[in-house]
Amino acid sequence: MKGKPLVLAFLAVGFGETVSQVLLIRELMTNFQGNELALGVILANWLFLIGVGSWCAGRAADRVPVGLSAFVIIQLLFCLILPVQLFLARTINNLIGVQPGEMVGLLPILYSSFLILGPICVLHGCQFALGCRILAAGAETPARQVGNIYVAEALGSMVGGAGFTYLLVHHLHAFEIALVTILLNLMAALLLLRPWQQPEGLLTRSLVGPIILILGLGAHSWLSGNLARADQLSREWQWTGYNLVYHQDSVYGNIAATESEGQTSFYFSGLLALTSPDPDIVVVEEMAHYPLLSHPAPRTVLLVGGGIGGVLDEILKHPVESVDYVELDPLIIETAREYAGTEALDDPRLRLILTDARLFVRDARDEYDVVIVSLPPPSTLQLNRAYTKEFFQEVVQRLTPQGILCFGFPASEAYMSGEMIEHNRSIYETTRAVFPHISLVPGDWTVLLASPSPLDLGEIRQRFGERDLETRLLNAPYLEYRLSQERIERGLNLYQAEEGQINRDLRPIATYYNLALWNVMFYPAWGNVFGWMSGLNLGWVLSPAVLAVVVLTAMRGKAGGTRFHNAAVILAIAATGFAGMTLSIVLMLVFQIYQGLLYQRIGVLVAAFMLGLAMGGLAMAGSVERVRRDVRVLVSTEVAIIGYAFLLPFLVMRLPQIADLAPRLPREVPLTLLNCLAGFLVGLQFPLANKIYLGTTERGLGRVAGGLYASDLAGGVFGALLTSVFLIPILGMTATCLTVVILKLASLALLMGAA
Amino acid sequence: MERTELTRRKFIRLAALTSLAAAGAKIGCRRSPMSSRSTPEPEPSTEARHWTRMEGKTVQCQLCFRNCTIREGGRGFCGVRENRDGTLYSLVYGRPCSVTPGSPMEKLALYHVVPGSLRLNLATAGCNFRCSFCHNWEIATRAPEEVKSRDLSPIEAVDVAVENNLEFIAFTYTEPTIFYEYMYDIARLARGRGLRTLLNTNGAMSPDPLKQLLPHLDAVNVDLKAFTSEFYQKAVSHARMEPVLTTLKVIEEQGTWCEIVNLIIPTLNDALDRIGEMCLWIRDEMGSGIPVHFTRFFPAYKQTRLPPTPVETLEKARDVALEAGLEYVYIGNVPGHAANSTYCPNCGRILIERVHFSVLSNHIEDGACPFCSQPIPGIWT
Repeated sequence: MKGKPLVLAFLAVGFGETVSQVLLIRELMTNFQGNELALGVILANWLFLIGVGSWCAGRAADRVPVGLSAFVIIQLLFCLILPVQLFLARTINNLIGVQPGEMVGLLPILYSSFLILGPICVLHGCQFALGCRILAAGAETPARQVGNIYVAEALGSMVGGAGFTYLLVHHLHAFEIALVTILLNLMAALLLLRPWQQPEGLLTRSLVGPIILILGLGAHSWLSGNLARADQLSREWQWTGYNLVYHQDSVYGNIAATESEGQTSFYFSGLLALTSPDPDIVVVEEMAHYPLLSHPAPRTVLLVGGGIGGVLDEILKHPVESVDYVELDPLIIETAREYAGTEALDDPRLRLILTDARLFVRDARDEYDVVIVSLPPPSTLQLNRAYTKEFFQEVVQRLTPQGILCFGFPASEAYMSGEMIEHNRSIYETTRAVFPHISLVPGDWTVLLASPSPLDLGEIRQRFGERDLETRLLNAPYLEYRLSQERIERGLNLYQAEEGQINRDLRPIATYYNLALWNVMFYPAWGNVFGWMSGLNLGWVLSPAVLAVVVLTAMRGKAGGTRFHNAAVILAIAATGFAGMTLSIVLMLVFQIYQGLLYQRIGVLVAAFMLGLAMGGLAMAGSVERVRRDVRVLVSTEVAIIGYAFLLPFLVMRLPQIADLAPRLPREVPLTLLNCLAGFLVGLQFPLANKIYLGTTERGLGRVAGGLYASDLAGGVFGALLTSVFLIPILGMTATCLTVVILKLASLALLMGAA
Repeated sequence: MERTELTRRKFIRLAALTSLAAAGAKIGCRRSPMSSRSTPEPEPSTEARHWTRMEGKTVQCQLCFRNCTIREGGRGFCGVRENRDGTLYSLVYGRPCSVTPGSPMEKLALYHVVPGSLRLNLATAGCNFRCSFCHNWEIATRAPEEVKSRDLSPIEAVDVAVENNLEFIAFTYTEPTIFYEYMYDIARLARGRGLRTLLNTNGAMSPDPLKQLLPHLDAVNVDLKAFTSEFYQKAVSHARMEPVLTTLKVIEEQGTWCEIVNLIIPTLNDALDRIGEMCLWIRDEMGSGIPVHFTRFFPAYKQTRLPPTPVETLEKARDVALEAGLEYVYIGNVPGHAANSTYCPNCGRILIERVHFSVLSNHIEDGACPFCSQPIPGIWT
């Protein structure tokens, strides 16, 4: 009777989980000017807290008789807490006493994301364990019921993710989206209680009132505009000390504009991106004029990012024929037009291209005399794509024989720390691996120029006189100082003194250096940890895995077969949680490299994984009760995951060839299918593991399902923390996949030992 | 139940041990992508000056306003003055981390000191302030052993300047107060060899050491960060404003050439009324001829979200300063701005035309305006 509505309710739960995750994490990333490390910590926190909820609720659920009412109460709590947490997420900087504009280190990020995510995540974890317990109580096929819930939640997540990306974010602000989620969950709660059928029990009946009350309140606050006021108020608090004149969420992040004394400043996801009408004149003039003056007669220019920050205006001062300007987020251009009145955007020589820069450069046909990349340093895997050997190779293809690539990075005139030298040296070395001729203009903002033909920066001074440019900063004495042969050589010598690490698409080491540099700002003492971790190799994974297998197997005799057996199942699920997280991060990175960061495509990619997860769960849940030799089936799924992780790097390297096999197929199809398959394999295991565990233990179902879910998430926590910050940047994609292979081999060995 | 707990605990311990062992065995097997940053203990350094013994082996450093009480084995706030067995040592004497020859005078914001000349910059690790907007945090917030420094005795430091044909040595980047002994000895030696010396300071040195140092300096640039104690308290890690004002008065009394820099940071110290009070104080205590520089803030260190200072704010501050009667008020860090140049306060003609730190023309003759003979204070030759 209660089965179907509860499974349906988990669609709402999964929807709520994903949407609240996106909403809260987006705000936290805006507040903390998030880099890859911050994102890893926030994600890990998220999974950890759900795991805690699930584990605790599972233990409690078996001891006290719980019914639907407990489940509905948790759902109600979720509905009440979500808007509060959203408000808190925006204003957390004020609460933890951070000065306006001040950046914070990892510890404040850790505890504030814990505070913000805690209540929501723990409730979600409880819902899962409780739902399993309720549904399976008295059921003949408990494992199958757990499987159904797992599937419903995965489907709900998929719908939530897709709905957010393609629909909600375009039409509603954050509080409205939260309300949609709440309404959905309340309706699911009503469906569960079935007030029209005169439910039994005082508690159950008395819950109907509050649900209807909250429904009414939600609808009223929306219609009366209170919701919009809450959105506005929390945004203003988020920007305490600033005069916020505009804010808007786009699919790529948050765009905000502040105004003061005739100056407008624009922030993309909390990062200061540009200031109008007076930008950082030193940076914009140097970034534009050095490359254009290095070229004897530049006609065609490609500008990647940062154009509306002033570089575009400077480029257009030259008699160039065309400027192609690539920017990812159309909303950035719209905002700049409206609030900065960037006139350069109306220049007839300008062609505006709204797409992913990597994608554009790869597919472009035109050739350019000058390519200027004006993006922030590689603090995320996403940004790192503009600093890799592969990207530079694509740029060379688009350069005329005398063409010049130009980009810049922060350095220091006074002192260069080891972290900063390593970061910059890696980028320098990567450029040198592709371009035979490199020169740079050292300074607090160092400008690097690279070309297939010899470069002579001395010509900049001469051409500056000839081209008669109207500049605010550049003049003959300034150029004489900045471009003195001695200074340039001193700068080059610094980077040439030692060999640097080459930054690759599939081994993005520059991101690691950037995070190390960021971290040392707050915790100088941790600098050694980052240095030490950079020696990471597969042996670090292999040795403990082998030892763990040996030791656990040796302990088997003492501990007894069943307990060992169950420990093996739990570890297998944890390793699968790790594998699931790591493989999705790998596929996300690979997808961005080959297909760009276009949200239309990334959304499909994420949904594909969730769909695979649901399909895997569904396939197994449907047949789990009929499976006899369940351990053997689990072993087969282990082998399948190992095979997948082992083959993935080979497939990824052959992706272009694979795409050529079926030229009519959209290029993103193979990767999307691969991601779906990864989800499928991971999804297969959960219902099966439940059945195996349940068959051998006297423990209640809530505890088993809750515990397994928690171990799945625990594996995910490690995946979130390690993969994007350490494994991929230091080891590279192939060895990261091999890490998964090693861990899964270890869990497989344990399972075999148990069977 | 009990047995489960036992095995679980045992398991965790074993797992921890094995991973430790494995990790230990693997260290050094492969070249690390980050060069090792093992740093030796700082060498025993020169005994510090300006401190006193307290009870037992505890000492009190009296070099700056913090007057740190330092127990045996401890260090002061700056991280570079250490109590060893009851004696205070400077850990950075002869150990500069920044030695940069050829930096333009205008970059230091000394606009009235031999325009267009170049200097040698010197700094060591450490600072007695902790500004959240520091441009040199990589050395200012670190202890000496966390920073790459080189051995350079005061004599050698002067040699570097002479070899590079530089007439000036500037103590800058971090707060030179904390390497007082090193600075003092270099300044004395440099004077002896015909060089001139410049100090770029936050102004928080105690009056006694300052009075002893000033005779060996030619010009001082004081960073007056704000005119509110609250700013010093909050944004500079419990610092105070009064010591900075005292420093300015001491410099004025001793007659050393001085210029004041005020970095205007949006929302933190941009209130015009306070800037007005500051200008009146400067006029009354230092005279109207002292150059004052309002400079544009750019995001740095932990202050990466604050926008650059609106140029209008800087212009308003300049208007307020001119109204208060100050005669040489500059706007810095805005390349191409007219207020980057020097004008005659009497006839209003342009005397030194500057763009950022480049000097395009200098019309001053014999320390005076060539058009109306108005004397222009400063060190012009």
